[in-house]
Amino acid sequence: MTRRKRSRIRAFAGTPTGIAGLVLLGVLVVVAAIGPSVWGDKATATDYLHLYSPTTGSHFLGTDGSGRDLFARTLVGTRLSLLLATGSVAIASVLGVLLGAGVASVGGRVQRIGATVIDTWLGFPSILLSVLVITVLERGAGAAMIAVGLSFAPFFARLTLTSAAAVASQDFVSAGRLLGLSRRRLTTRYVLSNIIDQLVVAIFSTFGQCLIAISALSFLGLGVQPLVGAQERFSIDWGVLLDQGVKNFSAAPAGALGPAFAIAIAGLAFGWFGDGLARIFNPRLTLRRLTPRVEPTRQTQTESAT
Amino acid sequence: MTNWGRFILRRLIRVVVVSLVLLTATFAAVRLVPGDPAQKIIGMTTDRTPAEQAKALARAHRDLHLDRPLVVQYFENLRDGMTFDFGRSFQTNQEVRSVIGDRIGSTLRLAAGGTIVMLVVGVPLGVIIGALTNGRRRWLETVFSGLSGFIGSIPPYVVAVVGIYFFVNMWSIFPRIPDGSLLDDVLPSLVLGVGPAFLLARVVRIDTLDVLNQDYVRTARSKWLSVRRLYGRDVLPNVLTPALTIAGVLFASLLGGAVVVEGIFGRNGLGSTLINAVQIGDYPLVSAISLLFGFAVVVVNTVVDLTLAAIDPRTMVAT
Repeated sequence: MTRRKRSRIRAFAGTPTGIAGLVLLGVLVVVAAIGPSVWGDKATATDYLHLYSPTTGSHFLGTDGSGRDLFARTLVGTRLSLLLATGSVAIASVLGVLLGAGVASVGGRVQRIGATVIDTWLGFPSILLSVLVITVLERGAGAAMIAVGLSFAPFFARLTLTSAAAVASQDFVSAGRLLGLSRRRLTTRYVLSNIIDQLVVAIFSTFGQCLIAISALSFLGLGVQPLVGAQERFSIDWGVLLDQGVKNFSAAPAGALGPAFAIAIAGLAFGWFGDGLARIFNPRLTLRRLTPRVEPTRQTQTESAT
Repeated sequence: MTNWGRFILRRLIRVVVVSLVLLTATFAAVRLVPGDPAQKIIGMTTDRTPAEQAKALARAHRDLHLDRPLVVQYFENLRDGMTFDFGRSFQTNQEVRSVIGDRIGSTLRLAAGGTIVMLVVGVPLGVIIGALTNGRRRWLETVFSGLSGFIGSIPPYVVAVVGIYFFVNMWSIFPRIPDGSLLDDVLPSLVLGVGPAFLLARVVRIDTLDVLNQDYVRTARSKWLSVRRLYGRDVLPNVLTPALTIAGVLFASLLGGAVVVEGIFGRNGLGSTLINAVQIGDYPLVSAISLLFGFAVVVVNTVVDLTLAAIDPRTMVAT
């Protein structure tokens, strides 16, 4: 292991939130992987003698209107929630980076127009953009994933554009240009490879937000459409559960709190993990915390004055 | 032309350009829907003879301007957008304008309440924590940044569920059924505003620290200005400029939150109307409401820019 690698791991380990995020993410991934097969039967088994049951020993979050255990349902919902978030982040990052790199490499007036479009797109409330996309596509999990992907794409485009502009003004890029390299080669090999760190951090920070956005769409009935029968365990996500929970809120409030906490915790875990990663790639963030608040230059000035 | 004239002109041009982009986007969205939208409208009302059916289809085509060339459709769409005339709702046959007029009040109250909470909580909280953590109380800094990050990242619909659980079901502080008084707006406003408020407070705290370490504050301190004067005259105005910029950005997410939260609080505002319209494919309503929201975001950001320029004319040059 190189020294640089080791110091990066130390930087990550030095952030309690980063570690907490990593642990939470690990738990989430395990639950997502085993969820439907382990708790699937319990999550879909109906029990008409215990409808809207409050929290009891056997039902940690109570039961819903068909007597199904809500804790098991929340655990089972982890997989679809995480999968859809992964899909939308993939769409957002690939599309955004391509767009940002494209706009960054053309230059001139086209670049200015492109930047304006990206900024307008970025300023528009993401839920409204998702709603517009869902109007066009057929309602469902796939549409929600694409919609959220499209509404987060300008974030990656802006990031690529801004960082690429910073890198592009450096000498080694000019050197590459003098060597007569093509624009595309300059963009991919010289510029993109230098901003990959920031993109990785952004992907993880966006992950939680995408998960929250998709859950919001499912919650509004515009995302995941719950199925019945054998497919049921693969068609519940936290947004659907939250929607059902809110509808039964006065009868069984715990049922809404479960998925609500799951969404909040998952969002938080990705955010924390992203922060930890940012510390690895950008050591200045850690340094700033260690230096005293008083600015050193001013201190020396006052010292020389006295 | 004066600086101000040029600045306002530039901002107005931007509003126009962005509105054009929005109009084009909604136009494209409705045209991209697979199948014939007109078929969808008349499908909503049943019990027609075939002749009536054909007549209804033709009328729907005319209403949507679908019987004209695409270019003509586009410009008619632009004209409709400028006069804010989007025809009638497919579902109720009510004029879109009057539907929006009926529902906008509830949404405005929600958005305004959330914005007030964001500003009234966020700015003082940031300044106070900033003043308290200026070079001391490391623990408070850690606690505050952890807590504000946590609260700021919880989506409003989750806050709403938890808020109703505690404030309505457990403690009965707010009535279960809205009674039409101002009290109804308190909980939704808090729910919408609390997340953005803490995010705003984070930024304000950093700016406060920045201002407190400036030379002019040291000068003011050395002249033994009263604390109230120091913070009121020297610190607060200098913190407000960046705070306003962030507040403008947060307003967009607050508006998006309002769309999601409306249903939970049983309000019949533009948000729930929009969601319902998307579900049944009521395109005139969908495009009108999304345009309105988009326009609101642009207008608020322009107002923020103008206010900033009035407070600190240097920002006019930069943008």
